[in-house]
Amino acid sequence: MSTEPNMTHRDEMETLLPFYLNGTLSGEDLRQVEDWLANDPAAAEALLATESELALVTDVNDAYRPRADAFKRFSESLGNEAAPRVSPVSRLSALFARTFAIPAPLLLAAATAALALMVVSVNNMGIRSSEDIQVAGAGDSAYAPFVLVTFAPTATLADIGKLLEENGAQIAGGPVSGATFKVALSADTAAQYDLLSKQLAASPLVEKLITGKKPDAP
Amino acid sequence: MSSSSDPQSDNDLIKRVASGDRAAVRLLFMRHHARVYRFVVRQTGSETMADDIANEVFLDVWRQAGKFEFRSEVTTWLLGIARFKVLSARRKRKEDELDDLEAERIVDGADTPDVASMKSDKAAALRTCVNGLGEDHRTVIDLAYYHGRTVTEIAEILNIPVATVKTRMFYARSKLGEALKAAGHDRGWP
Repeated sequence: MSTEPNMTHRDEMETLLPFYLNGTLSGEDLRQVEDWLANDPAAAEALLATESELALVTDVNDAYRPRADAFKRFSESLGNEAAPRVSPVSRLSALFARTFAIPAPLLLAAATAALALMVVSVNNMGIRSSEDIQVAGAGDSAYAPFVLVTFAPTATLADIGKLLEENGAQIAGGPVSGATFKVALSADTAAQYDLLSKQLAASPLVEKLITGKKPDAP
Repeated sequence: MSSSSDPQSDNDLIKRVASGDRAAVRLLFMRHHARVYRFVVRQTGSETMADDIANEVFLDVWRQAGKFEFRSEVTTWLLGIARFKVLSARRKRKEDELDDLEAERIVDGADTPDVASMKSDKAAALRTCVNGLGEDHRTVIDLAYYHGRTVTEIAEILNIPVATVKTRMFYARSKLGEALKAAGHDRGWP
């Protein structure tokens, strides 16, 4: 380690002690500090002083208390915020992360594999409205027109995301009954709904599409 | 700190926030708000300002979660946003307002009647020494001792080189030692 050219070895070790105590020191720095602690009688006193500083700084910080209504006020502010613009890919990623709790590096592969296992079961479909199957933050699309979609086993997550984005669609729920997805459509009229449904159904990425809730307007 | 394999880990919550999950950002708020608030109040000396800025930090998380690249810990990102907002808020203030803020902070660390009456109390005197450090030094001390950050994470949060973090830590501890000595406390206290 190198900080100031005129620092002694002890100065350097004392500089690292706070990081030794907070458990974040590693590698060569950790080895040097432990070697110093083991061999220099003055090190024990320095460690004691550092422990005291840690306790003091913790005490000073803990003395500050946020206002009791901080969470309430944040929730109110959050309620005034528009939903963030979300790409279908990140929505799918979040959905799979939440549904299957797959470690991030395996997420894409797992999502693709899960899609390959989709089975349409119309009678058992019964979209649940409970929080655990809703795509997080899908509040805006919860009452939107939707279709039920089973994607082709060969479809990748990226392909599906692109398809949905091109058609102004987004995952609004699922997977249910063997991983079938509820896909919300940005359609104000039945005609728009039919057009978007047809475009999605025509895609080779979609294995099966079932009509769901249509807009009230013709 | 929650692990990345935990479905409720900070990283997973950020993914959920990025997909528009308001419940996830509320959970992050409950988890980390107090520490972010303390980080800000220690830099600004103003609890009112800290209140507003900490709130804004989590609204930024709501707006920007999709841009988080998971290269650092979520808590490091939060503190980095907070630091940026503190600096931005200062830039926006007129000079006289900044002077008022500084005055408020200095008064906080001075001998108010309460503090004066507690001078005989060693712990109170020690707290005064910590609060008397300059902001650069106090912030590095807080990030290491209270927030448990690594040297690299502190460099990232403060946007300064790693060597500067170490130098600031060295001088911060030296100044703290001097202040304690001047207050009649040798090292190795309490």
